[in-house]
Amino acid sequence: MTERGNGGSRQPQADHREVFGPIDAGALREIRDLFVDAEPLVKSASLDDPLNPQTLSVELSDGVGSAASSRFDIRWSLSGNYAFHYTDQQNRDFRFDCHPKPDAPTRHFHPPPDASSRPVEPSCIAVRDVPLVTRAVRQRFRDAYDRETFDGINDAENPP
Amino acid sequence: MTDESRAPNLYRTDGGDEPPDVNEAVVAEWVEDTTPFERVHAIVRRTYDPESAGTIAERARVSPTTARKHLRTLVDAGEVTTTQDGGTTLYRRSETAIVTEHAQALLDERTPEEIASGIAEMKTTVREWRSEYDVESPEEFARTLDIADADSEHAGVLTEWRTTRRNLALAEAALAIEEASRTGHLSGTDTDDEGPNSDASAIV
Repeated sequence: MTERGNGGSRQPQADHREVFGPIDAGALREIRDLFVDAEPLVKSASLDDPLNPQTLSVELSDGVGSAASSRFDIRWSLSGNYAFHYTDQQNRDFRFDCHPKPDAPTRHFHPPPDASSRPVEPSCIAVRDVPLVTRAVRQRFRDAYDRETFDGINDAENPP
Repeated sequence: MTDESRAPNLYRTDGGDEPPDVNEAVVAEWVEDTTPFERVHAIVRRTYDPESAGTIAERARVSPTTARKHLRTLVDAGEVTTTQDGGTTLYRRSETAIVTEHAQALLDERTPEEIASGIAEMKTTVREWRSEYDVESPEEFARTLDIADADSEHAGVLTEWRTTRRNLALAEAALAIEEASRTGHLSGTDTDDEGPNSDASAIV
């Protein structure tokens, strides 16, 4: 039950109260609608529990490269923290996150193939609000999907 | 492109003067797809901590004058509530609007019976956390732990607990709205004569 990873070197912090924050059900519904409207690969998009949603899952009818299907699991908090977690039928994962994390930038990226907890990279997504972050994540997915590779998925600039 | 000239100071990119990147592209797309009013509404809908019209204007990619105009409309509609900070008016989403949005979404997706049983489930879940961790509230739970990493297991429980507490309150409010609506007391279409006579032509 101890913190995993970076051992005891971290100095104790005064304020650990809100590392992610309560999930914003309204934001999840908004993200769901944005994904469904914008992304033709969406097969279904649903909240894990409509009354008490913690996660929005968006099922896609195809995945990056050789994956035949994929899914985004999405969380968004009242304080604007978020996690967009991609996983596909080949068990490859990546995650665009924004939340406080020791020894990492608030906006960070867990790279494929396994989106491991550490190390992470700074995220290429700098916009903050729901409509913009959702569009940016979809754009990065679309770019990788069209190029059939995860290479450059966390690059802000599209290759020519 | 009118709003793009202001865009660079709204977010940080690594290089500065690089060709359009994903952030600039999605801002341009959003501005293209929406009206200024829709953008102000979209931003203030997720603004729970009071912010100035100027800040909301920057986030919505509109001018401060435009933001102020639309924010006044949203205040009149009950969507937004204001506070004063010195001479500055600060805006945030109103509690009423939060409850209304949530209630509409729930009642679209679930029957009152399903909502009632969901409320019972959430209460049970909270009771189980209290007993498992031997604390009364998520705040007390947080104080007993050293949670600095949102990816850790305890941080996950903490988030879920606080989320459940909020959704429980919202579900109870939604059910109360549904019950009041069903009886017709709200619209004056009930059989009692004590309802407000706001609309004499209401279809009975």
